[in-house]
Amino acid sequence: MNNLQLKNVSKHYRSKLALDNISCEFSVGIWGFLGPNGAGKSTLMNIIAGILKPDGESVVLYNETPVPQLGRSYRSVIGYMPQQQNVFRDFTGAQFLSYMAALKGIGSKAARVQISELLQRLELTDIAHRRISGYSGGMKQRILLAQALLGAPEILILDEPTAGVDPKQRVIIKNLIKEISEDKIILLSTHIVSDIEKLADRIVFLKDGRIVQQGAADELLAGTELESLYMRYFGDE
Amino acid sequence: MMKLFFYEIRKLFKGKAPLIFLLVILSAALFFDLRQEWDRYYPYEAYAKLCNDVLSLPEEERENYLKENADKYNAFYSFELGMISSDDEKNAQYILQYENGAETIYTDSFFTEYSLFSDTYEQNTDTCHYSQHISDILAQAEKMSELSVFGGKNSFEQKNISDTAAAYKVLNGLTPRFADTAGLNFLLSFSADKLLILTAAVFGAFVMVMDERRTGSLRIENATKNGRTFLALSKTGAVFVWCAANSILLLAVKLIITAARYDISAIFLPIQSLSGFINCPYALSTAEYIVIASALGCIAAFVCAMLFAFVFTLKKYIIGGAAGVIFTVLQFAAYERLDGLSSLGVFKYFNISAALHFSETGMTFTTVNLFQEPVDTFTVSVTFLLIFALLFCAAFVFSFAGSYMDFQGISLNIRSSRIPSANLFYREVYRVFITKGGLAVLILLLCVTVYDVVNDDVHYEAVDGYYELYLNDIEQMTLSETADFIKEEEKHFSDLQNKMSELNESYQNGKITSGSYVTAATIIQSELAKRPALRLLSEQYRYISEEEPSANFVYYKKIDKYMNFDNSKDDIKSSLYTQLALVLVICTLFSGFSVEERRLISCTADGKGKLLIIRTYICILSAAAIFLCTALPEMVVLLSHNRSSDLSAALQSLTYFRGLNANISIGFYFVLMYLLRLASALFTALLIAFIGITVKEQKTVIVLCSVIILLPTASALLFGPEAFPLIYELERNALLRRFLI
Repeated sequence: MNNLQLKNVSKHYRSKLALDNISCEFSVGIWGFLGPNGAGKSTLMNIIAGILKPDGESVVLYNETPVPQLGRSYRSVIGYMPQQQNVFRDFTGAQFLSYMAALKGIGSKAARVQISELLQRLELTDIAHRRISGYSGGMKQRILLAQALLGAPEILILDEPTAGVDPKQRVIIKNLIKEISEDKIILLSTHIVSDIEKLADRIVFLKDGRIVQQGAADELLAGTELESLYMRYFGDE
Repeated sequence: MMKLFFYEIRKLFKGKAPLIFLLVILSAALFFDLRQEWDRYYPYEAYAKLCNDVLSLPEEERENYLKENADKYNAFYSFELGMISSDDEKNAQYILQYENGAETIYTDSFFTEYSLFSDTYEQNTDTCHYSQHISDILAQAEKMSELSVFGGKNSFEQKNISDTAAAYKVLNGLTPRFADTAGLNFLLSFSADKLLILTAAVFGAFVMVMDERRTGSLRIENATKNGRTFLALSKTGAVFVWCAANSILLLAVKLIITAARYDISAIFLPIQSLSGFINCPYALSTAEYIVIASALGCIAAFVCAMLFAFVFTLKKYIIGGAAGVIFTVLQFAAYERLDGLSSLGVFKYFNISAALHFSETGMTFTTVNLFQEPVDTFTVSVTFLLIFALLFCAAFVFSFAGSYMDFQGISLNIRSSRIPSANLFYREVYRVFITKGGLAVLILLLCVTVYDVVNDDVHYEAVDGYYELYLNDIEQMTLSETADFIKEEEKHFSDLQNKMSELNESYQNGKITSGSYVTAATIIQSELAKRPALRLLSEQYRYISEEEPSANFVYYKKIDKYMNFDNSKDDIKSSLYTQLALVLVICTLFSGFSVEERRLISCTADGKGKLLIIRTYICILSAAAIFLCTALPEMVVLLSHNRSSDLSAALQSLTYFRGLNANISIGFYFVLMYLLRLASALFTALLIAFIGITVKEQKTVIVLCSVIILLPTASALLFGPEAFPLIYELERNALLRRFLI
C-alpha cells in the first residue's frame, strides 16, 4: 500500500518561516488542503513533489524510504499540476503532452495511447493541435491536468485544478479525480471549498506553516458545513 | 490623452517582445555595419595617412603633389603590367625612375598607390575648385537657356534650366574643404538600415494593434470612454516615438561603428567636402545632412507603420496586409527601376523609398516633370511623406475608432493530427530547432556563409598571376627540367635587362627620341614584368633542391587566403557568425524556461539526469551542425579552387612553414585547422551550456555570453590585435601555426 510520510518538515525562505515542523502521513485517497494565502500549501506541495528542498532536519519518506534515496524512481510516481499556467506556450497541446511523456520516461507507443485517452477524457481532442498560447484559462488547466495524469502516477499533486474551468468541465475533472483516486495518494489544494467538500476523503487545515487541524472529511463535516469550519479557523485572517 | 499616450509608449518599450526586437534590430545593425567592408583597393590607413600628410600643404602644392604622384604610379603600374603608355617626355622619366627601383609610399603595390593618389586628387580638386565648379554650372545653364533646342521660355526644359541655376546660385560662397572624409562616405553609403527601420516600424504597428487584437486586450480598451479615437491617436503618437527611437538607435550604432573604424572629425564641414557630393544642392554641413536623411527615413518608416496599423484594424487584414506589402515593394521597385526623366518620373520620387534614400537622391539637384512644371525631388519626396502620413493616420484613427475588431484566428492547417512521438531526444530537438527557431538560425547562417564565400574575392597582384602561369609551364616538368627552364628564363631576362640599359643610355645621350624610347622600353618592360615571379620560382626551386626535397611548387595565393595569412579577417568574421549562432541556439536549449516549466520538468522521472545528458548531446550536435554551416561552404570552395597537387604537397612548400620539421601535407593542415575550429565551437557551446545551466534566466545568459564570448571576437574584428591580442591570435589560427613550428 502506498504511503507518504512527512516528519518534522520545515522550510525557511531566508528568515521567513514557511513551514514549521510539519509531520503527517498520507495514505491512498484524496487529501484536501485548505488555508489562506501564505499558509504554506504550495510550499508543502513543492516539497512533496521534490521541487523544493526542505530544511536540514526534515524527513520525507515514501513507502518507508527517504525520498532523496529514491531519486528517479520517486519522481516516476509523481504527477504534478502547478497553479500557474505559463507553460510551454509555443507548443501545441499534443506536443506538450508528448514532451512531458518523454520526460516521464513513458515509451512512445504507451504515450500515444495515454495521450489520446486523456485528450478524449478531458475533451481536448479538438484543440490538441493548437498552440497553448491560444488556449483559454480552462483549456490550459485541463492540459496541465492531463500531463499530471500521464504515466498513471501513484502520488498526484494538484494545485488549484478547477480554477477558471466552466461548470461542465469542473464536473468532468472532479469525476476523473474521484475515479482515479482508488489506488493513488491525491493531494488537492484549492480555494474552492465545495470541491474539497465533495472530493476529499481527508482534510488538512494549514495556517502560518502549521497544520491546525486534520481529519477524515466525514468526521470534520459531521453536522457542519466546510465553509463554516473554514471561517472558524481562518475567519480572523 | 497625454496619460494614454505615455501608457502606449510604455507598452511599446517595456514589453518583452519589443525589447527583444530592439535587441535583434541592434544586433542586425551591428552585423551589417561590421560586415560592410571598405570598398576601395587601398586600405583606409593609407588614405588617412595621405590625407594627414597633405593637409598641411598649401592648396596648390597639395594639388600638384597628388597629381604628380597619381600620374607617376599610373605609369609604374602600366610598366609593371607591360602596357604601352603615352610616349611623352614625362613617361620616359618615369621609366628611368622605375628602372632605378621605384617604391610605393603608402600601399604595397603600384596599382593601389595609383588608385589612392588618383581618388585623393579628385577629391582635392573638387573641394579646392568648388567656386569655379559652381560658376561653370551657372555659365552652362546660361548657355543652354539660349539654345532654341530647349524650347520656349515657358517650356519645362527652360524652367528646369533656370531652376537648376537658381538652386546652385545660392551655393556661391560655400567653402568645402579637403579632409579625411572616408568615414562620412561610409556613414552615408549603407542601405541595410533602411530595411531594418521599415521592419521596426511594421513591428511597432503590429504590437500596438494586431497583438492587442489577437490577445483580446483591444476589446477591453475599446469598451472604455477614451478607448476609441483618443486611444487611436495615442497609439499613432507611440508608433511615431517608436520609429524615431529606432532611427536614433540605428544612427547611433552606425556612428559608433564608423567612429571606431574611421576619422569622422570632418562631420561639421559642408557636405560638398565629401567625395561624390560636389553637386549636392544643399548648403548644409555633413552632420545636418545626416540628421535630415535620418529624419526623412524616420518619417518614411512612420508612413509605412501607419499603413500597416490601418491594415491591422481591417476585418480582412490578411488580404490588406498582402496589399500593403505589394504597395511597399512597388514603391521600392519604382525608385530602383523608373527613369526620373520619363513621363512616370514623378513616381520614382513620390514614394517611401526615395525618402529613405535621401543620402543618394540629395547628391545632385534633380527635378521631375509635374504637369510641365519642374519640381525638385526633395519637395516631391517630402510632399509624398506628408500626404501619406496624414492619409494613413486618418485611415487608422477612423478605422480603429469605428470598427469592431473581434479577432478571428486564422491558421493554416498544416500540422499533423497525429500524436507526436514521445522520444525525449526528438522532442528536445523539435523544441529548440522548430519551436524556438534554431533551424531558422542555421539556415540563415548557411545563407550568410555561402553569400560570403561566393562573394569573397582574392586580390591578385601582377606577380601572383605570372607565378601561376609559370606553374602551368612547369607542371609536367621534372626538377632538373625546371632548373633548366629557370636558367633559360633568367638568361632571357638578363638579355632584356642589358637591352634596357642600352636603351636608357641611348636615350640619355640623345640618340633616340622620347617616343621611340617609351615604345621600346614598354615592350621590354612587358616581358620584364614576369621577373619577380621568376624570382619566387627560383627561390622555391633552391629551397626544394637544397633544403627540403619533399616540398613542391604550389600556387600559394588561394591557400594563403584559407590559411588566413591575408589581411581580410574573414576568419574572425566567420568565428563571430559561429559564436552568434551558438549563443542563439544553445541558450534556448538550456535556459528561457518559466518557473512553472522548470518545476514541471524537475519533478519528472527523466527531468534531471537523463534530460541533462540528452541536452548535452544535442548541444554537441548543434555545435557540430553550426560548425558545418560555416565550414562546409568554405571547404567546398577550398577544394574546388585549389589543385589537388597543391593540397597534397608538403606544408614546407609554403614560405611560412619552411622551418617545420614534421611531415604534414597542406591538405592535412587544413584538416587540423578545421578540427581546431570544431573543437573551439564545441568548447564555446559547452561554455554557453554551463552559463545557461547556472544562470537559467535567458536574458542574463544572452548578456553574459555576449560579454564573455561575442564582445572579444567583435572587438578583434573591429579593432584588430590591439583590442584583445589573445583572441585575435586564437581566431587567426596562430595557435596551430605556433604549435607546428
